[in-house]
Amino acid sequence: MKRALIIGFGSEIRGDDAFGPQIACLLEDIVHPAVMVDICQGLTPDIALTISEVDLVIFIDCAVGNEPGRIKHQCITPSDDKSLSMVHFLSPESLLTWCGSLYGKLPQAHVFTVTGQCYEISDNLTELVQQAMPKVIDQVLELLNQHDLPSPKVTSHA
Amino acid sequence: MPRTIEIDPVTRIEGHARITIKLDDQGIVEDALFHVTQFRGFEKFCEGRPFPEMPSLTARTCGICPVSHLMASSKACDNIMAVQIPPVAAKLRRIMNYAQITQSHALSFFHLSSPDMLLGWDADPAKRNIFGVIVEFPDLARMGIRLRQIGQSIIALLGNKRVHPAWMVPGGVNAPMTAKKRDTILPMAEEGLEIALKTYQWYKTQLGNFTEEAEHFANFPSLFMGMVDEDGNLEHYDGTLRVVDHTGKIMHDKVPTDNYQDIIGEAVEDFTYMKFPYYKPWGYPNGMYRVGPLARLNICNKCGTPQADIALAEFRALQKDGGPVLSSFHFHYARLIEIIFAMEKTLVLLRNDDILSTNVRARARGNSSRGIGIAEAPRGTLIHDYHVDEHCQMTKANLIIATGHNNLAMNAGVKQVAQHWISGNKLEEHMLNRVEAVIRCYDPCLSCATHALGKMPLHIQLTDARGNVVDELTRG
Repeated sequence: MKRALIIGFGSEIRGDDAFGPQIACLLEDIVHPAVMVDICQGLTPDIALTISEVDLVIFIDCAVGNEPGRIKHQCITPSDDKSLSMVHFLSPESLLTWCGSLYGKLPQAHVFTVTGQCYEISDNLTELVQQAMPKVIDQVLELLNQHDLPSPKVTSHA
Repeated sequence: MPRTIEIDPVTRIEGHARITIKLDDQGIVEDALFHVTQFRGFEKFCEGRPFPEMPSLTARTCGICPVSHLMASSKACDNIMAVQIPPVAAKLRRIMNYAQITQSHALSFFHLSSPDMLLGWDADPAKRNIFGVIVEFPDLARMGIRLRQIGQSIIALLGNKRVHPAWMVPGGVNAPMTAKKRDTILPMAEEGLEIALKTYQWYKTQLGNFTEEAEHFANFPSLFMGMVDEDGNLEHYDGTLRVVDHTGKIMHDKVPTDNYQDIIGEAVEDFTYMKFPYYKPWGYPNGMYRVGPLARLNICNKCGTPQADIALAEFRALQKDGGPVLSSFHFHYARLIEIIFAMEKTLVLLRNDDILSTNVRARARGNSSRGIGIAEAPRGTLIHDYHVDEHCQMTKANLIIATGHNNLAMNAGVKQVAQHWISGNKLEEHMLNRVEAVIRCYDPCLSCATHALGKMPLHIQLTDARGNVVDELTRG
């Protein structure tokens, strides 16, 4: 059983929104074998089942804000975000709610975000978001390390 | 005094839309309109691109059903190349489409529509959502999640990613099925079939609770259109078009997909960005037809798989006169049958060893100036029609999307529901929920139909002819 799950999500053709998928691609090659990496455009209900099978889940996303390149890391807990009634795409907090309610399991959950600058059609990240990438990789690897899941290949990206 | 009710936006659908309902002096519904308020214009920015880019480009029309666009687009490109793709490539494309149908129908049934059916249209809207279902019906919610995961996993295994897999390409697919992947997918399809059958048996016991909705949710005569195979059976990948009327009479049959314009015209209205396709021989707007799971089961002779055919016979008994099932409420029923069918067909295809053939792609440059690709997406018939120049660059693209085909019928359905449940000056939430729910029966994908993503709070106003707000409701 995989012990941790990294989910990089966002649109790969919407500029900085591709931060999550791009960083997940990089992490896939360097993380501990017991870490599963998933890339998706949005968080869908079926991911709740996958989350229920791990002890640690790390979401990586791009955020809207006034300070492009700003890195934010937070631990999250379940929350019923009822405004997302569409259910095509869910928030990480809602997914945890689904996971806890349906499978009786609640992995420790973290969200890393970097504030984006441009979301127009493009497959390139802006410079400030690119610069944040190695720092986020290091923070994710450090978090995994704290859970006894050290990277077999890399010690530092910063 | 005449008044207008607006439902803006419509919730639990993909995309952004609003509904207006016009009341006369007596508070009786005169008319109702479904407005799609987003605009995208994919057809325009395809122009000038090399045709082999079309599958990847047009798949970006939608993050929910990209596989359908990949498939129709790849087929259009096959025709521009003027190649016949290897038979196994066609089978592999079918398997991915069955997975797409399974995950899409599961999302529609379990997550978008089940809150109304399980918790009741009159339930407190604060509880009438998927979280309410999770609390009250956790077993069903788990089945929905697993079924969707199975569909998504099959797509991911074949295409190496769950959304926008670039596996279907002009000429076939870009990688064969491996024995390891087949052995992973087989038990998933078996489990998917088991879940689908269990859900179907449960749903039949619930139908009696929805008699009034079935009677008034877009329950009217219309034409039905879709693809059938050479024996007239249920077909989602490659076949000919068939149109039947409300009595079951076949109006057009064996229409080659290249000739779709012989039977389909397109109209526009100034109140919506979504086009209005219509059955050409009957003109606009009389040529209203429906597509999608309800239509497919109405037009086919049989499904062609054991469990789906048993369910089809039970489905057809819903219409007492023996004709096509006319109520759009039964789209839900039809979706469950199609999931059963999709899993049965997947198992048949996987159990044949030729599925491991490595001959999966034909290669050629552009040899024809036009290519039409038609496939049955979860929501209905999907048409990609491309024109290219001598340099194989796109000069024109016409996309007719399943949700678009149903536009006339959705508008008629909204009007029927509004006339049955709404009258007077007082708005009640359950009335408006039913107006929205008839739209959800069609599971519209407005991102596709306008070729965006929508935010889904709901605000409804009842105004008089001078624009004064008479009544108001807010949700979300």
